[in-house]
Amino acid sequence: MAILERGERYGLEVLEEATRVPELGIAEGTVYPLLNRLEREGKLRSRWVSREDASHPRKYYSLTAEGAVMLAAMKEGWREFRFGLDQHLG
Amino acid sequence: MSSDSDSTSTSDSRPGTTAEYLRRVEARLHALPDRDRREILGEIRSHVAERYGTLADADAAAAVTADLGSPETCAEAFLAEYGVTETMSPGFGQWRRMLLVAAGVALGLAAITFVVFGLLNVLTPPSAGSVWFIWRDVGLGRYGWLLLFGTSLILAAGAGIGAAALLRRGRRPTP
Repeated sequence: MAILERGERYGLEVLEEATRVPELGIAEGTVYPLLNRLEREGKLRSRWVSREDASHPRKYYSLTAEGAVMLAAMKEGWREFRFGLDQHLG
Repeated sequence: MSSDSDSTSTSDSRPGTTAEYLRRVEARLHALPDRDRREILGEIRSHVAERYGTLADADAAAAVTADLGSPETCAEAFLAEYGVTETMSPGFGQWRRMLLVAAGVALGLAAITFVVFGLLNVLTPPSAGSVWFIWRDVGLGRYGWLLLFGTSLILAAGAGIGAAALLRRGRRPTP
């Protein structure tokens, strides 16, 4: 969702950006099902875009307003968690 | 917009081809609504074309298997997001669901019958002399009928909720 906050992306772009950070340990096979679920939950919207220079269409995803709210809440939760953990770790 | 080029039937579904990979994924996704299944297959097809378009088809099939897992693993990752875990053959899964729904409906109808007769026995005066008189001969008494009425109501509600849940699971709407 944070990747899509930076703008509309198609599935493979999301996958490539997500796997660019190996520490996240994201398996390729999990990205498409996750996008599919977030779309069904109304957090993402998608559209198929046909291109003249390619034989296949691309499915572009973007955040919905509901998704943006959820992402903001998740970011806040993560900051609080990290702050709390840092307090303990010193 | 849905991918219009989603038709999964293809003339080349020999083992080791991308078409065969998609066909096996599709077979595993039988429990999902048609529209969702087409979307998923369109997405995988787009991924394969985008990422492995320059490879020979057999190499592309091997690469997609290495990246997304076997067709069964790939499909099950989607099914898990839908809360569907069954991996039975399409026919068996569908028949089992239909059988359970039919049993639920039968149970619900039986329960409703008891509810109606129970109510009539409680509400109609003893002198009514109607066909319901037969039911009074059972000898349950007013409280017995009330107990039966309550139990039947719970059974009817349970059967209804169960049948609805099964149907919703099989035909989950797409937001």
